[in-house]
Amino acid sequence: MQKKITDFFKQGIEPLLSILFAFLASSILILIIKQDPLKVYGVMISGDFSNLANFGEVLIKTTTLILTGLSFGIAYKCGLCTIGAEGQLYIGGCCSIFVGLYLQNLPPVLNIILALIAGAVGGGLWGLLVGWLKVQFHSNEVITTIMLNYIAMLFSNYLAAGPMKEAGSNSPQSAQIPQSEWLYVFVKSTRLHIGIFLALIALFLYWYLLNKTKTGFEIRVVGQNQDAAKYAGINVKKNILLTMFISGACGGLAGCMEIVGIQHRLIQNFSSGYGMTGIAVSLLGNNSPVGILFSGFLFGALKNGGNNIKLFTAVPAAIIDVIQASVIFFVLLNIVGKMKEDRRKKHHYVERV
Amino acid sequence: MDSTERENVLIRRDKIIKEEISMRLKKIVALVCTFAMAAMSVSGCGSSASNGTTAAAAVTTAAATTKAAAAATTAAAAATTAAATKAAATTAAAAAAKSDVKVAAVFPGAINDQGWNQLAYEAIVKAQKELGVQTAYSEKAEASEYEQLFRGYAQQGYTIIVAHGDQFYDAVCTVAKDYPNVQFIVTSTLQSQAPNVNGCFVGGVEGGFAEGAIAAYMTKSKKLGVVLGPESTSMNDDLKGYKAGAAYVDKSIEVDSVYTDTYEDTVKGKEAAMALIEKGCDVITQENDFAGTGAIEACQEKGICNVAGVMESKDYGNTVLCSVIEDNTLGIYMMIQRGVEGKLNGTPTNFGFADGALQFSGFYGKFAETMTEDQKTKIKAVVDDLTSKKLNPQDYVTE
Amino acid sequence: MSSVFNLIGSTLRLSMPILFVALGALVMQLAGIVCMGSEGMMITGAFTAVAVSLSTNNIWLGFLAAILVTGLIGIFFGFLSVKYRVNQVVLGVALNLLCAGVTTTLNRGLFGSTAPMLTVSFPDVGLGLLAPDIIGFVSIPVMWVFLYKTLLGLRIRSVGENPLAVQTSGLSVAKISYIACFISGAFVGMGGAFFSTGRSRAFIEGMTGGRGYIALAAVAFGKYNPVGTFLAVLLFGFGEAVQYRLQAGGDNVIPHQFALMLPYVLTVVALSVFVRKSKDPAALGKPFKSE
Repeated sequence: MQKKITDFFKQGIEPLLSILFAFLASSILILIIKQDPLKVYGVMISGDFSNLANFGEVLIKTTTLILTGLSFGIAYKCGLCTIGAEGQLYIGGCCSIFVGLYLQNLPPVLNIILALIAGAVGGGLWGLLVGWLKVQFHSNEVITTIMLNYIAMLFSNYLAAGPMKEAGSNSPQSAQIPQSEWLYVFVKSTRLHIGIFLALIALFLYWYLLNKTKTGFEIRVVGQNQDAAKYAGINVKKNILLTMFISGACGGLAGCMEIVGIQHRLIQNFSSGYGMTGIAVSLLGNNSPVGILFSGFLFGALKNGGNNIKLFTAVPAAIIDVIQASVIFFVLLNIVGKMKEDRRKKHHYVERV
Repeated sequence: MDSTERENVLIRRDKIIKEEISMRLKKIVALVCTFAMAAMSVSGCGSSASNGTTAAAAVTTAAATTKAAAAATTAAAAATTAAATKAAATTAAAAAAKSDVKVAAVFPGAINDQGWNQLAYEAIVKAQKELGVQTAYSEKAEASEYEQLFRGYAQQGYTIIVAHGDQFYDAVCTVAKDYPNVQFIVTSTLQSQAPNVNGCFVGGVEGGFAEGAIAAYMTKSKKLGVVLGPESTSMNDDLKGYKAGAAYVDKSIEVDSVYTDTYEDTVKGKEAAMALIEKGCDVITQENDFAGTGAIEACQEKGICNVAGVMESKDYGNTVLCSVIEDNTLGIYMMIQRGVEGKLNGTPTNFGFADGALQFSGFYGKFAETMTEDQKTKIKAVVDDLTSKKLNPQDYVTE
Repeated sequence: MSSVFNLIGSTLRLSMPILFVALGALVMQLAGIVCMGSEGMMITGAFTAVAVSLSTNNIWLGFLAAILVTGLIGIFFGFLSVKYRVNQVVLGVALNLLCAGVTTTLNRGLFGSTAPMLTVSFPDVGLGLLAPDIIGFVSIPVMWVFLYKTLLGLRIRSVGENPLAVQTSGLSVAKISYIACFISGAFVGMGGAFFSTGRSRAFIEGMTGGRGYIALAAVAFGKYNPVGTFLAVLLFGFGEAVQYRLQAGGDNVIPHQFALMLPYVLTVVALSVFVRKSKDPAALGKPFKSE
């Protein structure tokens, strides 16, 4: 029992240390441009926790980030490194706004559910495309997903400025969906909507799928060693395709959150790096459900705080990208530190025998 | 492995373990220190976190309480410099805040883009200098954070907030409901919401119309080219007006356009202009600020006439004939002025030649020397008619 | 006829900076390390070149500074990949993010309100080409000779194919990798420097816009040799050049967003259709465990 507690703390300490080091490293950069890091971080923290509305904003971002984190995480478990959450977000957003705009004669609750499904399926298909390219042509999924991100963004902009443009307006954006179709805001004086519960359910499903189902087991085996999986009779191709679909569905849902829950209409360039941040979220959380939950919250706070930094200091919001990237760096190094320890231990035992 | 080797391995392992422990200790000490500093700074930071002179005060308080005093004092001095770079007329700001009105502005792009955003930035600088208001601003605002930006400023006591671009309209309307004592100015739109959301438009269709008409008088090939930036309402309106202006002069004139999706990348501007010139356009107009200077470069190389939009462009090349300047600075400044005087009440304003926000630069460059008197007269007539409101561009818009 | 000439010129102008990046990526990949950080290194080179050129008023110093800085980043990347055997792909993505953030922050902090334009420029060598264009053209045969006719080139390629064999023959896999990474970084830095100081003559935040990744695709598409890489880069440059002409075609036959998509679609198609059998170096991406 005591070992379990110490293990839990050990697991938690490593990411915290990574975060700390990331902050320290970014402080150096802030000092170089002659700003005060403490002020910057202070502004960031006060922007997140000073009142309920701000905290609600943090949770909203957490929702989206949990989903993009899951998008990366599930693919990673299958041995794929996809950067495609950004693109899936755009496609998912387009699909859900389609439901919101053109199926308005449906009862609102049905409309919202359909919008969510549309977003997930749309994103899923976008992810599936990447999976298909990988399985069929051995295309490097990192490059294809990045290219598809640009394509998805441009396509979404096209829809907003063209076919889905609000009638009679010259603005390159769609009409607003009626308020009845917005995701229900359950905390007054904030914009926090029920999407957060969906994100939590998704986290649970992620855990359940990977640990309690045969499919999840197969996915993990494929991720560890494709050849071993093949010899064990697992259909590698099918699992890759399935994983990419699920990954895409998560990303698409994130897009749905943004559009149906926050923006309420399709606008140009509506995503601001949620996809990239999702990678950091998943890695920091060691691709585990609890980890993704906490790191999703952390990065939600970071992203939200970044706005305040932009508002009230002379430091550009890009500093958040620096912190994010630093976190990934330190996480990578920590993991390796552990790996080396394990390897040394293994050597020692091998020697004994 | 014999015993001495095994000993060496064990010794090495011990060393590594000791190193790890000391590294971890160092990490923990750093952790504690940083938390301490963070805690002290949060308590020291005042609530007035604007880019004005109050920023320096907050930093000095924090500096006094932290351990790394040396670093903090340099940071304090530097923060004042930062505040200085942010608000151009610093000495004026520090010395005389004639008004206690606080004006905030949110821009979609960078304030140094030599065009759209910079013009609006200069408006708040002008307001600071001449009206004595305190100012703050936010650049490169992203869609997902619009509402928060406005709420943030409203909560901090900014009673006039400028949102530079119609993409902010929705967010502004939502936030405006909760802050009835704050006047919001949204540019590039004529939508408004009583009592406190005021739309204003400088140029747009009227500016584009003037450019299109001028270019139409100058073209021999009857093909005009327009280099555009990212798609937005004002960009679309510019194009709409341009086509209307060209049609006003001669319905058979063809207008081609290329979107470069950037306000800053001059290479894209140049390539776009090159493509248009190749297609036979003999007059080029650009609406994408700094990136447009690339288009002017292309015109220079090919000797093509350039009718500039948005900003004064005569220094970028001698094939620039004239500029139809959108003085967004003046327009926004006038709106801010009205706000300070309490005259804003949620109604829209359309600025054009008549109130001086659109300005015709006059003729210069190579083509000014070779153009005919007839062309000069006709162009001047269009500008005059627009100024006197005798000519209404909307009459010629076909879409 | 002149429009064909213009198209060729346009293609070359757009392709040359990417060629440097692709050649750099080629070297690193041949050494068995995935050059996923090319985007970040490119933008670092772009920023360094502008910053140094502005402060020293000498464009070649900026060029050299970019080579140096990016070369060092290359070594850093190699160090983490070889010594610590970190996941190279994730590391690359993190590096890209880091470099984008750092260059933006530094740009804003150092130059702040005005994005200064360079007053110095590269010498024009006629035909609308600048000096670095010539360097680029020359680099192709030089790189070819280096990789296939020199001992170091052979060693680098061997490290990417069969590192164990290299180590068995008594050489240090790590050292060879680091040299390869420096050369790689240097070239990518040149590409970035040329990209910013060449024709744009200013640093624009985030200006690389995915070109680092396109360069990576070009290496695979070009079958891992300098000439093929050059042709692949030309193809993507052509895609970008064509999209302007597509838009200018009048009456907006193709919505402009689709025209803008062209380079990216080309990359995906190229990767899928033409890179069937992976000609990747055998040990690409696999961290080498030294025994």
